[in-house]
Amino acid sequence: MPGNSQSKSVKSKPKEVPTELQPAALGRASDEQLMRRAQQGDRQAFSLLYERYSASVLSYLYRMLGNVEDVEAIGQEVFLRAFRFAASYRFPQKFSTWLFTITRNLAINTARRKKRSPVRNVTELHLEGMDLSGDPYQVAARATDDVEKREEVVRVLKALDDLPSDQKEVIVLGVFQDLSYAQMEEITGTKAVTLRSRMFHGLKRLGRMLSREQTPTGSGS
Amino acid sequence: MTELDIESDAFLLLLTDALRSGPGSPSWHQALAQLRERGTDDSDDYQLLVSTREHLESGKGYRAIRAGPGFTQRLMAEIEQESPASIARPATTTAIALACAAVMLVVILSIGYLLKSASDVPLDTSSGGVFINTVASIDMKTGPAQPWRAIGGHGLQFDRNALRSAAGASETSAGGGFVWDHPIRADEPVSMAVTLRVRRPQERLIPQLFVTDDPQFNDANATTQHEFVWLLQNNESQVVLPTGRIETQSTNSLESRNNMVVRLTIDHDQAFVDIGKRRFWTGAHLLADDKPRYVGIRLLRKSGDVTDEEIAFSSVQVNMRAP
Repeated sequence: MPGNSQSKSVKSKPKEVPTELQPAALGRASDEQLMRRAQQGDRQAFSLLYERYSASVLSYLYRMLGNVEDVEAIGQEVFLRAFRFAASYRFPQKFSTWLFTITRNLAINTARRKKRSPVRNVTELHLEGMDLSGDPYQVAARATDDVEKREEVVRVLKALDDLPSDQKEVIVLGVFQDLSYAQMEEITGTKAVTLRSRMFHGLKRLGRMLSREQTPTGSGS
Repeated sequence: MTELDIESDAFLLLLTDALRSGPGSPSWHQALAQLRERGTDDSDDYQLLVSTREHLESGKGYRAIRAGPGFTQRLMAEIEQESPASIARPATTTAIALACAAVMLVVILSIGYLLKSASDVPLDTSSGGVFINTVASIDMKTGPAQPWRAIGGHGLQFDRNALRSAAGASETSAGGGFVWDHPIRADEPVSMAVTLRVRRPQERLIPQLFVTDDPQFNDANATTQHEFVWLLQNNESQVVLPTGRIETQSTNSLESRNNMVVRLTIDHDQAFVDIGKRRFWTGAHLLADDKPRYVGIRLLRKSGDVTDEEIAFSSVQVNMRAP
């Protein structure tokens, strides 16, 4: 019985492309996958990252610096640097951590130079639900129907500015930006246990500041 | 601020997680449930924390900023201008580190080169910086002492703080001078510095500096059979090698109206001639490397009339390295 000569057709295996570089609908790609593409010069991927994070970065800057003029200048610089120095991003590091590290460093540098910064007119940013010329706290108050609650919220936001900067920072990063302690540890270079302590004491201090404000008027519950 | 025992207290750990995650999160519900069960003295404090955190949650959106179209367009336009090459360039810190490393390398190499140069080429020929040890000189008032020795048949005189040729006419050529009659080892660098007063350069009266490895001087013209010479004739400087070849010649420019400072320096095999602050000549002197050397000065006088006014040595020094 003649043996079957089984012809083996050897197909060259296509070179495997890393998952994060494989074609995929950009909208479904993770931040880290998009950043991997941006590292290859994919401007569309970077635009998507900008869409995902612009509000977050700008809001963080506004909460930390307190004025829109600085936010506009630094906000531009944050994303320009992120694109320019995309090569320094190490996949699969969390993109948000990397981006907020850039943002925080620029914010700190700006705060140091603040006295020398020229005052600029800003027309290209929008605070949610308010006119740029308006007082953000009044705007916040307008944005809620519950009069008592809105007053409380406004007072909390105002009190936040009076916290020590390290406590304010952990509240802004952890509460407003939803970053984990591990991420905050990486961004700030401060141990998580210290950050937890700052969160606890910061909120406690914030609460006491509000209690003291309420006591003279007798409106405390 | 007292430090919390976050790591060992499970409730505090849960509470700080809840405070970060906010209302609605699993940790928030757990923390509130435990808070209700505990009913501790700190309950009021904890309730205050919870209430404050809830207010923050409510205010989350109020201070948010979003980019307007102008902001986005401007940013994207700038990003479009970024070239692909600039995207991949190394971080600033890397660039700075590389630049620093390059600078340090250059500095180290420079120091190494200078040290090597200092050991290989022992001569400081123009400034005399390393030849700070004056081992001999001629006193222009009283004349030289031992071991300076007069050579040649032409009479010289010390007059007006200078060494001059005797005036008068002569039908024959002659030379006279002084040699530092001290043998110098061939591996021992030496430098001779001379100041010449030159009112008018002469064809018939020729000042010379020499280094010879032959101690036998001609009685008439004070020369030897094997010597390295610098001379000035008709306002032209010349270097004459032991082979008799004239190596170079050029028109001099006097440092000042009357003075010319000439420094002749030799080491084992090289010679350097500096006139004023300018390097005039450098090269192999072709002296024997196994015989001692002698340095000195002389004036050659050709036949004919000369005056004692035109050219004179006003200082002569022999310098060696400090021991």
